[in-house]
Amino acid sequence: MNCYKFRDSISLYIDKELSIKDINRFNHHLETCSSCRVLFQGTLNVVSSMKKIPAVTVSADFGKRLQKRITREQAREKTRRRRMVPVQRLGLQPRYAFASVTALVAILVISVSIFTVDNDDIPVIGNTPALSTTSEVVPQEEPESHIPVSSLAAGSQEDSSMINMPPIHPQIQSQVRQVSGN
Amino acid sequence: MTESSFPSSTKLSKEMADKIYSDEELISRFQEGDEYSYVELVNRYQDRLINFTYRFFGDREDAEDVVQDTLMKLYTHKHYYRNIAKFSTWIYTIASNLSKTELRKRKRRPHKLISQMGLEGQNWDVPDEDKTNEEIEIQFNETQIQRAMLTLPLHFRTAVILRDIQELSYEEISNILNVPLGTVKSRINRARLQLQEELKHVNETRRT
Repeated sequence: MNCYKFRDSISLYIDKELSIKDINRFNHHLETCSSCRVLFQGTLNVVSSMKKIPAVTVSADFGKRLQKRITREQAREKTRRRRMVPVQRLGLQPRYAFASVTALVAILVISVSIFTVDNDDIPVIGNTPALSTTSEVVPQEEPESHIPVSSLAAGSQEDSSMINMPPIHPQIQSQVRQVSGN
Repeated sequence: MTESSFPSSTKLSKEMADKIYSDEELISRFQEGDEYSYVELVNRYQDRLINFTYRFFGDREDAEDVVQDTLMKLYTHKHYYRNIAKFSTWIYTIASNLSKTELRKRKRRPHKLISQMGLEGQNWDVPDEDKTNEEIEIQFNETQIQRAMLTLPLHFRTAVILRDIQELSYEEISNILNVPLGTVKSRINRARLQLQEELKHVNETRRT
C-alpha cells in the first residue's frame, strides 16, 4: 500500500470498513511510514475527540414553542378550509374548476341531445300492420305515402322491404299499374 | 387539536408504557391520526436533531429553529413518509435539507457574526472556578472542534456530523444525503483529514 492509498483508507480502517487483506496492508504501511503514522494518529484523535463532545439538549421551553406553532398551524388550516371554494373541498383546483364545469355541461348537453332525438324520424317496424303477427290490425292514420295501407296489409311479409321505400311519384305509380295490369 | 388537547408527555408515557413502538410504527399510527405518536416521535428525536443542527450551525438559536421547522414538517407533511425507508433517514433528510437552506439564506444576509466565532462566544467565557481541569479541557476541545467544523464545506460537514456525532452507518448517511456509498466514504475521510489539519494548527499554537 502506498501513502496515497493509505491516506484514502484511514477512515475506513478506523470505522472497520476494510477487508482483512486491506487491514494487513494498512498495518504494514503504518509500521513502515512515519509521516503516515502521524497523519493516522491525528485523525484518530479527531474522531475520538468528536465522540467525547458532550451532547446538547433542547431548551426548556422548546416543547411549549412547538406546541404553540402547531396550534397556530391548526388555526391557519381551519381558516384555509373555511375559505375554500366548494370545488376545492371536492379536491379540485380552482384554476381547473371552470374547465371542469364546462366539460361537464358539454357532456350533459351531448348526452341529452343523443337520447332525446325526435322518434318520428325513426320507423317503428313493430307498429307496422304488415309486420304485425296478430291478425287484429290496429287502425292507423294513413301515412303520407302513395302506397295505400290496404295494399301493405294485403302484401306478404316478403314485401316488408317496401315499408321503407320512399313515396312513389304519381306518374310512376300509374306506369307501374299499367305494367302490372292493375 | 387545541392547545389544551395537545397530548402531554406524562399522558403519553402512560399510553406508550404498555408497548414500545418502533419509529415506523409510531409514524404509521400518527398518519392514522394518533397525536400521541407524534409527541413520542418528538421526544425521541428532538435531542438527536438538535445535536445534528447545533454542530451544523454552531449556534443554539438557529439550531433550535431548524429542529422546530423539521418537527413542524413532520406534523404537516406526515403523509409524505412512505414505509420504504427508515423513519430516522427521512427525518434526518428533512433536517439536513432545512439546515442547508437556512445556511444559504444566512449567506445572503449575514448576521450573528458572533456565532461564527463558535459556540456562541464560549471563547470569551472566563473559566468557571468550579470546573475541573478535565472539564475545561473538554470544553476547550469542543470549542476547537466546533470552530474547525465550521470551516468545512457543507457536504463534508454534514457527512462527518452524521457519522461522528450522530453515529449513523455509512449506508444510512448515503440514504440521507442521497449520494453513493463511495462518495460518503470519501467525504467522511476528507472531512476528518481536514479537521485534523485545522486542529493540528490549534494544538501547535497552544504548545507554543
